[in-house]
Amino acid sequence: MGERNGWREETRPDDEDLTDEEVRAAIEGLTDLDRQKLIVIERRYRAGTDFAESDLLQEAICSAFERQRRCPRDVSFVRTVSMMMRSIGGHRRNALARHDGFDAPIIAGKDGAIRTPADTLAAAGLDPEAAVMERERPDVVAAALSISSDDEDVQYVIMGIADGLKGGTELQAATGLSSNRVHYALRKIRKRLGSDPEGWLT
Amino acid sequence: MSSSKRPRPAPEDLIEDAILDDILASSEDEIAAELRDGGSSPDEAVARARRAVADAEAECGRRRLAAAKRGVAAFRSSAPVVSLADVQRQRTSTTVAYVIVACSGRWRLVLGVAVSRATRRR
Repeated sequence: MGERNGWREETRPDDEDLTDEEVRAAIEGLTDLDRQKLIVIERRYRAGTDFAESDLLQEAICSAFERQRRCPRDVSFVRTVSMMMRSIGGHRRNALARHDGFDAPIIAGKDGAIRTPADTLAAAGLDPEAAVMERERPDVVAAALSISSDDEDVQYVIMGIADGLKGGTELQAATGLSSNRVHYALRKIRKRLGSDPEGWLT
Repeated sequence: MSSSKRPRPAPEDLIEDAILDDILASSEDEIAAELRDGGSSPDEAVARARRAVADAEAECGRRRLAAAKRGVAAFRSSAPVVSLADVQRQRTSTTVAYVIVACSGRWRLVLGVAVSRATRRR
């Protein structure tokens, strides 16, 4: 499993993770703003799944309680729960995608257009393997760039992130944008992609 | 090439990381605005998150109970307890049987009769 934002799924020594009591204390210590952020994040990662409202957050908290996933000490608890929701939501989305019909719409292709796997199969010259690959991993960067074609700031930020630049400072230096403009660009990306997360949050 | 080097995350993961960072770094007003855009209010969101935690605790309790029940059922349906004496007797018999089989002709007959008598006495 890979590392995302300092959050890892792999096994770590116990002393690097919160104990049961610390998990409980961390949950009780959540502020109202933390709770609001978790609801915003839950809404994002619940998209494209069959989880009912709040079920994904409940599942993530259960994972923390039951130690199905690790709670690293060096990562804030809100981020850990967010990453759990991202992971659980992603697994559920993938599981559902395997059961989708061949006519289920997805975002695919460099133009970011919505197509079905059946369309993709025809476009790929009747190559089933290519169709499956495109269905499993659509070119989301190209799709993100195409839906932001009217906004250069957003395009610079997308390209910077896709190139591996992390944090506002690196992005500011590489794009020449101010901190506020980077923040606004990220919010635009979130809003535009968030409105159609199918095929994006894989 | 270093084996400890992690593979570079996919671009979509990097973009999603940045989006998550952005949400986590958002101010109270920005989060409130986002919640309102989604047809909710900050207070409702807090209440929903509290309810999710309470439901998670209840759900975890139910799962623990179900796991305990499965454990008890598995224990009850397991094989009957065998005493240490039975195990030792079984091992001795098996060893003797191997010896008898390994012998041939007249010795096999003599050993077989001796074992049979010893077993009857026991």
